[in-house]
Amino acid sequence: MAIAARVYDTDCEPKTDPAVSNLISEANYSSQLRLLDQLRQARELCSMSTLEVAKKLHTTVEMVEDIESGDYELNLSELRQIAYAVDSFVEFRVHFNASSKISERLIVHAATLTSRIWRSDNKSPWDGTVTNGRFIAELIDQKLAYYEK
Amino acid sequence: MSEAEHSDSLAKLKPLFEKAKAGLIQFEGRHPEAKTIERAGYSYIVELRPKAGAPTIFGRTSRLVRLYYAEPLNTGETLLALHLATKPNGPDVHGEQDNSILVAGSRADDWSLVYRQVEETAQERGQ
Repeated sequence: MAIAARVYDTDCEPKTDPAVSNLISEANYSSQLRLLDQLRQARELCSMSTLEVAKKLHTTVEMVEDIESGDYELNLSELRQIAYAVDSFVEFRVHFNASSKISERLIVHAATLTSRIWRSDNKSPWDGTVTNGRFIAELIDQKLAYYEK
Repeated sequence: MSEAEHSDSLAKLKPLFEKAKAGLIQFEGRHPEAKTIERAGYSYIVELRPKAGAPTIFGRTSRLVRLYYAEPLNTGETLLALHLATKPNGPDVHGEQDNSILVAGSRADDWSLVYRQVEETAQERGQ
């Protein structure tokens, strides 16, 4: 698959390259999925059922289940409160100038991995548990951390 | 309100406490951090207004938290917390805010009576 990509300057240019834009959108959405997964893990670590969390938040079991599955999209107030309910705090982080930091190499690399992962039944070839989107998001996180150093 | 909502509201109040203590509260603007009560006879009460947050919380209409306080003239730089209350994030059909102001006002009256008595007692002992 040929992907046209270029490295942007460090200032905030419009994201004209669809490949870069798509990766940023995918990273944002994957990060959200990861967050919901971590909220579920936090609940399980507290040995709490969805019913117990629902009681703590004055809401229904269905609401808690929908939150964890992503069928109900949390607002920021609800996110803080559910984190509190499962004895966790959520750290909000913004990676600035993401389009300028995602290099052509990364995009080609990520695309290659994506095709490999898709072929391997939507599972990471490394540990077999991380799903495609999450893996790409983690990869981008690592790369961004590297570029920020 | 749930325990989580209470805790979240207190977290939002804390930076406002600090600003009030430092005299940096904004009384102007589209979303003022505090307002002086306009009701006649209660203009000495200040209402601290944490940010409203989301209009709904887990499907329920959210409530607004308000801390009513005063700055007594004769106690130096003291802020006197009078009442921590909530009100609907929308039309206040039951007049909840009015009730809260009355509670804050009566506490301020009680406090000033007690304060005066304590001062008088101290003066008598001093003599």
